Amino acid sequence: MTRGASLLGVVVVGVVAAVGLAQAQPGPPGRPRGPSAPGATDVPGAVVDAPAPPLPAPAPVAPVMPHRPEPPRPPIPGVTELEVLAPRNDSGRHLAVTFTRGATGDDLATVIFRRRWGTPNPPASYPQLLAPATAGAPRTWSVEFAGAAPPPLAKLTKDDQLGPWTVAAVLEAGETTATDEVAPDGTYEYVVAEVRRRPDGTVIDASPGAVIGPRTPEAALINTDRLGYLGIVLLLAGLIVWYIEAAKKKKDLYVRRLPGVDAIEDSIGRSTEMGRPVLYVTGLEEIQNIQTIASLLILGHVAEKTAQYDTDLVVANYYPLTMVVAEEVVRQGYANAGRIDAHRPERCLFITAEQFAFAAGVNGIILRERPATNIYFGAFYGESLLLAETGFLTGAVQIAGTAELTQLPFFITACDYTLIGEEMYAASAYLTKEPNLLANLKAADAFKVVAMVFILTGVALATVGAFQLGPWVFR
Amino acid sequence: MKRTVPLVIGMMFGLFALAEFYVPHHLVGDLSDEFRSWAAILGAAAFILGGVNILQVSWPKIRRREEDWPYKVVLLASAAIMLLVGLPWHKLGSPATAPTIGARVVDPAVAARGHAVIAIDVPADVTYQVGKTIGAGAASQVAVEVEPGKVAIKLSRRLAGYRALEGEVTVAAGDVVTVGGDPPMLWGKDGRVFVWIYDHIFSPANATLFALLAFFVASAAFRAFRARNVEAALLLGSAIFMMLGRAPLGGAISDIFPDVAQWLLDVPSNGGRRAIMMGAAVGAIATGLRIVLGIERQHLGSDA
Repeated sequence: MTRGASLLGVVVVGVVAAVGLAQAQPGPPGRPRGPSAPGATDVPGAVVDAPAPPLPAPAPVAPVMPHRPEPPRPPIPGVTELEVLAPRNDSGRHLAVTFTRGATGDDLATVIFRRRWGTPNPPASYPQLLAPATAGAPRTWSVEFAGAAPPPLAKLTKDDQLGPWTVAAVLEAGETTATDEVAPDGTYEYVVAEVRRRPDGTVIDASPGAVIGPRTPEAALINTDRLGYLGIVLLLAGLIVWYIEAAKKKKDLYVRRLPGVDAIEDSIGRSTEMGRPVLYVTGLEEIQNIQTIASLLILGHVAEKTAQYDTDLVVANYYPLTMVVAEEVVRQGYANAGRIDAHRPERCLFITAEQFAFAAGVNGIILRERPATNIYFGAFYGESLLLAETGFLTGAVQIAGTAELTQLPFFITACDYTLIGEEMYAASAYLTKEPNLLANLKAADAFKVVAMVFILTGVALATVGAFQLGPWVFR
Repeated sequence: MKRTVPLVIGMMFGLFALAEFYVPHHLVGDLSDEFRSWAAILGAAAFILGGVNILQVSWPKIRRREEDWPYKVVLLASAAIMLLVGLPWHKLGSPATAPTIGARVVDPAVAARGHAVIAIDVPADVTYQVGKTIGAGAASQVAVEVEPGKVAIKLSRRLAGYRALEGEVTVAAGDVVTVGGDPPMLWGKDGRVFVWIYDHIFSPANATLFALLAFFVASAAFRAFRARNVEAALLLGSAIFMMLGRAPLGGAISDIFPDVAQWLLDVPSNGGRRAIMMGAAVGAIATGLRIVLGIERQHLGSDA
């Protein structure tokens, strides 16, 4: 019955798809035709190769106005206090241009031009953007600025080229700063001018250009705004080294119990007794995500345990690259347990990289194979409850771990054990009991104490209004 | 050697990624972009392995007629169909990219008005743009009067998956030029068939599964909110205030409910969230350092 129903379903889906697709196809070229569009006129039975038939009156076109010279306007004052500086902590690809505007108005904009310093044959005097006005004729780009054959006046946009000059920015609405992206190996000069434009953007007048240069971008070797973060990493690294040294002297480092991690071995034992597989889901993020990495580290231990207990392990992956790495980790886990012969690569599955299709696929495994243990470690999103509730319905022992705050309540509700945030990162070290790894956990705990002291000090200082510690460390 | 080489490579790239955050120099950024390209290529290549994996897992089950094997047939058939329609077959031919410019005649009446006419001859479901005039194909030719000179023409369909035909025609006063064309259907991931299957089969199925979440939430909430102990009772009480505070009914009963709900979110919930976030961040840094510094080696196995 089930197979018959599935085949029937396939046929129905196929028919629906075919019908829908047929409806989506366009009709035969030219036929049938619908009503004409507004503003357009139908020509019934027109024969295009014959002399033109009489056409009904088409939509009127606006008459062409003869050129009228622009009315004389007062000259536009240029920008002042022009500065071009290399920004702090820059990659060496930017120059920051700042200035004070000479004039403001709805029809005025500021244009920043840039060219490489040392361009051959610089004009004797520049930069006049526009040639002097001639009575009765529109103004043109100055030859001195745009070269011997200046292009016609047009709307200026970023990256337009005028002779050797490139439009670095067109600033509207009174902006007075711009960061220009440049090639890191160059030296540049800038011309900044106010321009008056028609409503269509065509330039009709310009102020004298302010010139500055040469300027060279500067690449910083260290981002001083991030020194606070570097301090945190170095402090944590220092604590890790210190605790590793301490672990060499004192072998038994105390680490608090993690019931969720302790339950992993018990649940694998239960799976063995019931003769059902263990399902491990590595989360929905890519391999470079730290939660996925933590999940794969734990997977190694789980694989070792399942190999020792001779229990089937099914690993469901969202990305194929994760699947490839997970397969290698599982193989290593089996090798560590001395059971490489029991490793079945085909049980390490790539499901799909679509969120709810993945949920459907994993739910299918849960309902068909009825694993006795479901382990969800990694990054999860909206599908977390779909997975965990389905697992709950099958009566499996469920252990979850994630640092996704929004999914933790769902896992806590539907799973037997949940590792919250940092506990998931600690699980791998906790499982090995290796002194070096436990030292890492102790270092993280010690760092949290330092962080708490820092927070309390910062809160106290800010409360009495003495000092803002946070912004001082983290700019 | 088997263990040391991956460890050294991992440490090198890990330390580089760490350094990149603190060193803004463009040479570091360029190198980083290069490494990201490598990673993207690796990721794309892994999708081939993913396809092979699906085939390896599904085909034996079909061959052995294992339980629910028809589902595997559907899976493989769907994958094959999407692969086929996802390939840009249209590139094998030479579909039109520009409208066809037909007969050009001179109409004295049009010339007298100092204009030209573009006669559009397209199927009914094709939208045209002549200069700034936009319209749809009609039962017969459509005439659009334009200024003499260069006129931009674009023919397209509203449905996704068709290539727009774009071109330009130069007309003189009095010219009547016929322009036609039928935007061709595309294949590939932006093609008509792929988009249709995605929109009409995949998206509704996806939305259906997402909608099921509401019932799962109700089922989970029913279990979670049973007041079996003090903590569960506190949870239940908070949930009642939250639900009443967020529903219009709560506000209608009393202003207290929205205020209490907001306080629960702003103070206890926010405090707890921040604590978890900070703990997770420290854990993530510690895990990262553990791998970069080569302290965590379990996943690498032994050198033997």
